[in-house]
Amino acid sequence: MKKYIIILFATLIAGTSCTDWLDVKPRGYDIPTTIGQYEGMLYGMELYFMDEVFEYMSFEFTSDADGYKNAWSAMGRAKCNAYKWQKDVFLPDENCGEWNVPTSFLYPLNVIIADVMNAEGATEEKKAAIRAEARMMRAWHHFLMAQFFAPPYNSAIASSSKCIPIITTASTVGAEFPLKTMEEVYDFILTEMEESVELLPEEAEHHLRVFKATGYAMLGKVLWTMGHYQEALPYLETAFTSAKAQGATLLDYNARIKEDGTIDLPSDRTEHPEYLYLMATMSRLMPAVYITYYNQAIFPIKEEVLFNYYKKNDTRLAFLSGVKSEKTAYASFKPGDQYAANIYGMVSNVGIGVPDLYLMYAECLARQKRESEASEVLVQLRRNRMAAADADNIEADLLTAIISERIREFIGFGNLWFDMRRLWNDSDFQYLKDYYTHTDGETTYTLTEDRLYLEIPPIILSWHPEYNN
Amino acid sequence: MKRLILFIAVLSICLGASAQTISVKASGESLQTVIKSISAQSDYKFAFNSRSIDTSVKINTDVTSSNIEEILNSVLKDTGIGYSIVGKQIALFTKQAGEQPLTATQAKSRKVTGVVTDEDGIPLEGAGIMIAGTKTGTVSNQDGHWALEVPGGDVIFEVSYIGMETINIPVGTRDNVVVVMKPNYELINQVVVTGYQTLSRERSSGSYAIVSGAEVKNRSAATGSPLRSLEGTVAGLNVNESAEGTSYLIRGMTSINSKTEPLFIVDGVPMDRKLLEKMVNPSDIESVTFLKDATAASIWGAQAANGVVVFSTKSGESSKKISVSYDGSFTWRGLPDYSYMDYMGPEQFIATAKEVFDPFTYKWEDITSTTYGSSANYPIVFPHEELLYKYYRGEISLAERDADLDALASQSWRDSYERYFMSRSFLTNHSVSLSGGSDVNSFYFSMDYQGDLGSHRDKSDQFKAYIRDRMLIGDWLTLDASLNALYSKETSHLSAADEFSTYATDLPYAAFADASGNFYDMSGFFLNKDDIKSVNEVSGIDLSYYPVSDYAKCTSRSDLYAIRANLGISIDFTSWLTYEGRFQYSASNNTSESYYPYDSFQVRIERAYGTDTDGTQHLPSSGGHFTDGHSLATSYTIRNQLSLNKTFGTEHSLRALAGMELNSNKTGSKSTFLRGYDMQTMQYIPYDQFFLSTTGVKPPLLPQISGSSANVFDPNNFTQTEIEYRFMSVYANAGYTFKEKYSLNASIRVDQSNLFGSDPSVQFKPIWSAGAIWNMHKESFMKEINWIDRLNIRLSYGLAGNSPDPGQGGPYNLIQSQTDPAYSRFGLGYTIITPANDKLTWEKTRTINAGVDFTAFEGRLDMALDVYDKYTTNLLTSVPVDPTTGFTTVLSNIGEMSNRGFELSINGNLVRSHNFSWDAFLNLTYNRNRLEKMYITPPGTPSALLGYDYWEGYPYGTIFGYRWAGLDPANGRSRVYDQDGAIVNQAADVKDASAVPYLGTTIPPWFGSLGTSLTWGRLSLSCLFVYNMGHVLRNDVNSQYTYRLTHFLHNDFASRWKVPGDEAKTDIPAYYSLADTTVNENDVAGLYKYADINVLSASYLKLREVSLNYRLPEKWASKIYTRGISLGAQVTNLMTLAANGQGIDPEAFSLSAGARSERFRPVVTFNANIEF
Repeated sequence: MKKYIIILFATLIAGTSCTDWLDVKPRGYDIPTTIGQYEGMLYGMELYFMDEVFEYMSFEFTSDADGYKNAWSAMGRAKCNAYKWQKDVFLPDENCGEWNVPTSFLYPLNVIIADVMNAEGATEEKKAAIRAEARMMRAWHHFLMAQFFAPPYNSAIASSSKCIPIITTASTVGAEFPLKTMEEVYDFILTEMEESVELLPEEAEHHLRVFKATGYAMLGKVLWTMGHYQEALPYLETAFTSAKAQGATLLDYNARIKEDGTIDLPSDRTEHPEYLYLMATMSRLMPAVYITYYNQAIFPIKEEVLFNYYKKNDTRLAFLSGVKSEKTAYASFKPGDQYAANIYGMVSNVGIGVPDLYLMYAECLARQKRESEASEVLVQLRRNRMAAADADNIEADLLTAIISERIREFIGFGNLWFDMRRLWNDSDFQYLKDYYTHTDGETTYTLTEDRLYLEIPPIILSWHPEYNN
Repeated sequence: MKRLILFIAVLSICLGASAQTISVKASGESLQTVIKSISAQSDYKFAFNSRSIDTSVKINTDVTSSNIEEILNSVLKDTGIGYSIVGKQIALFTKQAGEQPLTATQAKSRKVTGVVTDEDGIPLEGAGIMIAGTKTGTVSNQDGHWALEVPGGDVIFEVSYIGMETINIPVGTRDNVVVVMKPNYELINQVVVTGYQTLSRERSSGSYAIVSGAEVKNRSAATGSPLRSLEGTVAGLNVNESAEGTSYLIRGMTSINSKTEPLFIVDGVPMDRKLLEKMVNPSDIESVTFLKDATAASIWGAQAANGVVVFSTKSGESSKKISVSYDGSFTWRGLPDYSYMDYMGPEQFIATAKEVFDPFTYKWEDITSTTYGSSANYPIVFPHEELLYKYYRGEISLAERDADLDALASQSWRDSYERYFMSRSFLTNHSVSLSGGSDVNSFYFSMDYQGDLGSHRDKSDQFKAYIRDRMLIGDWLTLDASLNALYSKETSHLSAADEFSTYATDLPYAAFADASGNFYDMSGFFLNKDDIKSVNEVSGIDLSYYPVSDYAKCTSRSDLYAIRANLGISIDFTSWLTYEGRFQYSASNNTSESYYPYDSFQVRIERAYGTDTDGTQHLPSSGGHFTDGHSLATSYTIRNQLSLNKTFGTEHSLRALAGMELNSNKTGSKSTFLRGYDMQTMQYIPYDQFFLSTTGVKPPLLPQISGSSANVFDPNNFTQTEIEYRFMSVYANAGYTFKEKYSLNASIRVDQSNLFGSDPSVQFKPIWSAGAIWNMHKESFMKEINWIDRLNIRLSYGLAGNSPDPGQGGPYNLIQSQTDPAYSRFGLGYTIITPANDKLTWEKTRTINAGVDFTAFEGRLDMALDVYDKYTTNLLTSVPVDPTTGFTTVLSNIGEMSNRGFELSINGNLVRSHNFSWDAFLNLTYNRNRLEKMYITPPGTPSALLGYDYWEGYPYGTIFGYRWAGLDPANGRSRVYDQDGAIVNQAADVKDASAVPYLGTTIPPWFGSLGTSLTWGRLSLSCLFVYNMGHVLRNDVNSQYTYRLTHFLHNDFASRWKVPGDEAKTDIPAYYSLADTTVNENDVAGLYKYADINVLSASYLKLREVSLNYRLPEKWASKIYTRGISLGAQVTNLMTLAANGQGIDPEAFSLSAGARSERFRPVVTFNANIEF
């Protein structure tokens, strides 16, 4: 009998295994289900553009033979190829951040867009707002890719010109990403943005989150980049007022310039009022870091640009440093000092900031002949950048003044590359093309229209032979 | 060896309760079962030679009696087996037909006494001593003594003992006979342990190999590890001692990124390899069984694709007398052989530095500029450079320069390093074991201490205890319980500081102290001198750096506690149906503490980073850096199984089992980092971490990254990780044997795990195996060929699997939270760490095996040959994917891989006499690995191929290389052929994969061992060679051809191209200036390093071990109250024959990276074994 009691007992032990014993979730990981997790994925997206090449295609840089050699050994082949506007920038297996960074954002964004409406613990409005935000960002990253890898928007060729793929599925296996035409891509971007913008929250907590003002600014920037200034204007106007209402304002550099000619900026970027939606880019640090390591600027700013555009008391000169004087251009502003972007202050950014919004808005106003409004916006910006007397004194031709202000605001950051694309065929700004040359100290390279974008890099072509350039 | 024999003896000589009346009811049960039953009911013990007595013979009887003879007569009638009873011992023997047996009383003439011992002089209890041709006999007592009345004249004694060779001794006129018995190897090999059951080898179609515990014990004296000592013991096992790759492989790589090591089992339950190595004392191992093919391994299911290694530990013997044994060893390793690294010594380094000194490219102003720099290169000028620049600028004369340089060259970094930082390494081990038992209980107990002094003044002490107890509760219930406990303590020294990974500077003349032992301040090797000065002026922080004193101060200690409790229960329902339950729990907890005191360089330099330019310090003003780490592992296994063992009629026997098992394995770690911590008071000083991680120290006195405007400190002071695997498995297997000649085996198993969630679509499908064995030697037509002892032919087919880790992939997007000061106010951020992939499935390996076991000449020749074909589908690994997807690499099922080959093992007893024997063995394995198919083909650019270790159509471990075209006669630059055969000197010009042909694999296709042993009386000598052949390595070449000389240099650099014409003598490229834009590192160092001329054969043969053992005469041993003493000495790695021609030892080398790693000179071990 004892035997059978023990056997029974053993059988009971054997039978007690639970069916959900295998459902234990590995700790440290999770499968997104709650609204907090979907929203957190938007915070988790702080990525830098690192080691990219597009900044070096901007016109304001120059070099001499020694500087170019140092640039080549310090920064490598790809950046120098980009600087020389060569067709083949990348080696066959070199990764390309201009392609990889936006696509790495698109995956989680597509996950959010597809699934957030099923999330737990939120109202339908909240879920819709998160989804709208993700769609806005998705459209924005498509827009960025279209700037890097396709010619500037041109309605004449839009329906025939291949642009970039439209990526709306989050999948690493089996998905195909055919190239779409320029028309399809811009239609997608605009439709997505227009459908989402109204659902965005009024207020953003963080510069990597898109709120209503940012959404309108994005929409405005897309249209403005396309040359559709008239359509862009109402969006920029809404963004302009709405951003101000939310505390996204200009930072008064005049109050922050220090005696040694450097500028004191909030180091915590969440406290910087000029941020709307900005992704930091580290590339600009490269020439800066190497400035005096080689005792010479490897890609300094062209002196003719610097001295033509700036007056000595422009606080933005604090972001440039002279190699020979070892002082910022604000403290020492003299020819021969080899000025280059320094690492003080902020890193350069791809996205939209408050100054950009001001300048886009002013430009659209000016192009619609609403000149007094335009000059008022322009002067507001200038008053945060220099003494009031200088600020109020603007060039006679308002449009030229605005573009010149863009050059002053963004010089050395690489962002002017996007203006060079946009204004290539603008009859008013053909004079800028005089500057569109780069030199390695021996040969001078001149930008041509077919080099206004990067070829799709070979590593991508190896996966997509059908993307032949 | 002896231990194993005793173990088997215990199995046969079963235990019994004291009961006078014995009852036997048998209808077709085997003799073995009946013997067990009689033993259980009485205190009689049985002894017999299992070669002549067939214990599987079927018994039919029903008898109850208190008279043992009556019982035996009934049981043994019609079996042809006779018996004799002496005291409580019963000897069984085969009756000769027609023979008229004498009885002991009839043939009384004289009394002969004797003793039976094993080779080590240990008395054997229960050995049967028969007078040949009669049924007169006796059994030895527990001291091995026996006495027998023999008829007059010469008789021959036939002495038998289970597990030993039966021997015949003519007694002559002697009155006293000493019988020394030798193990019978064939018999030992007859039982295989799969972890779920113990099987007769004759009836199992799997491919097994068995290593005895004694062999593991003997060899582990030198290695200190039960696993390392398995090298060379069986065919098919490849032990890789090189600096990269999997350490243990059975039959090649079946996976790229998942587990490639076999599954390790201890007493029926899987155990982590690292824990096994620490926890299992080699002396406690009874036997090790390798399960190599599908029928052998597939019972372990989804974890068994790489083979299974089953360790059985010892149980006690029911000898009623406790036997005590001591094993001790001492192993001397000394210091690593630095000359092997092939670096330039100080003199040659300085001479070379003079040659390449280039003050035009590396201008003094540039290299000393403190304004900016890059993080890796603080503007530091090294002592030899300073002198060269001083002379160049005219500050010193040539004579002064050379005198100072000579003074530098007279110092040796290595001598100084060995003196102040290293220790002569040794290992010592002492273990004591006790075993004994009564009729109802047997136990084994051991304690072990291992002390290890490493080469860097790191020490470890390990204490192990192990106890195992078997209890017979009634005749139907057996319990066995075992418990292991481990405590180990390790102490070591920490590296100097986060940025400066070791105390070692990188210059061969940088001694730490002058000739009279005064230490140098070495801060100038790491920091700019002006920075050091300004930090001191502004903040008062002293950045001088004395590595030797820091080395003593900065220590780390770790304590490991581990236990394993294993409980087994076995219930016999009937004579043929048994329930077996097993439960094991194991846990280990490793705590570690490392501490940098306040005055260490690490803490001082960090305080400097935490200081503003105005001198304000933001980091704690006292206390040091403390890291408290814990890693925990717990696992449990619950198993229930029913096993059936039944014979039908006389010809059919069936053995089957079915069971279910739960297995959970959880590992985790926690780590806390504190600044400002005081070890004595155990308190730390709070500081503002949020500020330091966001705003940071701004502007910093000493930037962390040269030129940065703020020093920011990582806020993550607490980290935790955890992984839990759970498996639920159901399994069954069955074996059917017909006429003891033909057996069929089959098994099936289903594993479910938590790895992918319990979605049935992603769980592993059932796996199964089947096999057959034909014991050909039992066929009647083979009876004629009586020199063949055994001839088995085996065939098997089956599947096994390999699962990925949790969190690596599955049908869901997995997110991981991240905190960043930039948005910590708003909550957690999440990133998708693993993208969803619903196509992902487990790796599956199919194995076909065919084998032959052959034993001949009374066991003097033993051979096994196995031919196998393994094919793995759905290989799991991280592969590059189209970046357009948003990921550059993902875990995928990428392809199919095959491993085909054969294993041959031959054991031969070449000479066998009573006093001398000579044995030799050979293990040979050929394994051809090939990645047969890739589902996703990553871009095959030349530079990518050089980095991949797998590629479709080639074996794993691929080495591709440029086709070398010699140095450029004009400038000594590397040149290779491009795809069109044109000579190019830039890596970018090599555009097509065809220009970098396949040159070989780093995984040896041929490997094995050979050895021999000589025994001459009490002395034995053995040697073991291991070999690996047919693979390649990248040569270890110089890598620096430009820039200033700030690091060690490879000796090769001295033979570089210097002037035109050198290209005829050398392939080593010329030095070039960094300012030259026509050339870069890839083009010079890269083309050369990865050229075909630098791919060499990695084949080698090593004399792994020579060992000498001497067993002291028993007379001497008994004088000091011991039963036996053996002394031994071993030398490992005494000789290496390597085919590379560059002095490279492939075991101290990274084959694919082409870099040497630390190598020790031959290691000497002394060991002793004492039996009490």
